[in-house]
Amino acid sequence: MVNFDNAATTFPKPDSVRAAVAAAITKYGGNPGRSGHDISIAAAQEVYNARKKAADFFGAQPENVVLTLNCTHALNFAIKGILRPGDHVIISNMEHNSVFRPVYALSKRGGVSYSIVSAAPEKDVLLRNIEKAVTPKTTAVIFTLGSNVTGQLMPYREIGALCRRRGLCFIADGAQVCGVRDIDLTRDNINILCCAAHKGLYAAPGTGLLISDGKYRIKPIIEGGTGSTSLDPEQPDFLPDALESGTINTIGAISLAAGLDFVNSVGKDRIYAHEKSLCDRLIAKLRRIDGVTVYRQEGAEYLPIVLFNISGALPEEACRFFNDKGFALRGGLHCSGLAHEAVGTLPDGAVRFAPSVFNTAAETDRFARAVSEAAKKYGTK
Amino acid sequence: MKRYTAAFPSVTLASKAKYILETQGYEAKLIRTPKTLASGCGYSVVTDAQPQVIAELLESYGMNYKAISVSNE
Repeated sequence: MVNFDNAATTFPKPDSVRAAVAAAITKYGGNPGRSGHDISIAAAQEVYNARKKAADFFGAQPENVVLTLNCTHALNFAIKGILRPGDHVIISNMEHNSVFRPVYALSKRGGVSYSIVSAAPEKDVLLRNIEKAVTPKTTAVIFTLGSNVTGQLMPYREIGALCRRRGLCFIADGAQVCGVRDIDLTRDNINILCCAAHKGLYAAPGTGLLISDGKYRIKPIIEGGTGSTSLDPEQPDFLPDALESGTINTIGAISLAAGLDFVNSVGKDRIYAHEKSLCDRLIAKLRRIDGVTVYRQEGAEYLPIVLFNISGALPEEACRFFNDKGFALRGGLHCSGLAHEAVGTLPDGAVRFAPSVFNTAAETDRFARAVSEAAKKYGTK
Repeated sequence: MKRYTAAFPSVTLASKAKYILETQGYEAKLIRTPKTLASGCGYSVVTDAQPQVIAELLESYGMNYKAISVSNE
């Protein structure tokens, strides 16, 4: 099978990450931050190593790198830890449910209100949309840095600058951008970055990151054992302990360190250029196939994701066809009803092509031929 | 050679102190904080750096510590 569903999770992983996972489960089986014996200390050292690498990668301090299960987990911590009753937040119409659902839940039971702004393809329009939505009660802007549905890349540096100017907390969903574009918390004025370590950072699933610039206190939503201040019934008020109750995913952390080394060794720019070239190659071919619609807007910049539909085929039906041809893609709503509403692909969604650094031009060409076959098959229905 | 122990509230902060000391050429080892040094749970760094050096280095990195003492190790 050829995996073109890397926006869900990258697979395969680099050899170095696979080796790191094997080493982790063999050598670093202690519970880090719990005991003083050599096994626990060794695990703790590896986990710190991962935090340091992540901190260096994103321009943060290691103690402000919180390990989570995934990006959704990180976003829930951030959103529910920052917002208070009476707050107003601004989100985009391209948000994944990992942003929209917590915000919606807080609006139903937590006294929070929200505005959804259009992520217009023109940067100036998008920024004006955010500015117009700001009210005296607005405390945060929660925005995807890049859509998991269309791949639209948001002007996050300008959004960060706007937030800083207006005194708003910028919570960024970096799930699709981390590893392919440059993100620096200080330079980009991002207060809290949430990302999935298992996508563009090539770590094992079950690993995510919440990285704070330290400016906003994030109230914990889970309390428990942290291996620190154990006599105090109150949860620690310092990171990362405040947000890391329970045993952390040491294997995931070690795989993250290896994934970051991999991305650094190849280079974000090279990874992005390679994946983008595959997307551009596919789009050129798709646009020559009758019955295929590619969802891209003039004026927008894109991550390496291509969203398309085949006339006569429901997206999941098309993906079953592609699976039988040896290609793995995700069809449907991609956990973002908002985005599909914005794109105009409701109620059934679309097919998403999302290559990784390991995909090739030859695989892309073969996939384009499969799309052509599907278009002929379903177009005659 | 005398060793000194600096206590921190968490393993992450102790690990950061260890990293800072090692990059400056000092020995540094992580241990659980001795009860004689600080109460509650936490981790410490045992190092050959002098207390004044430890304090200045940590301060330059914006780090607080709970206590520094001569180590019995």
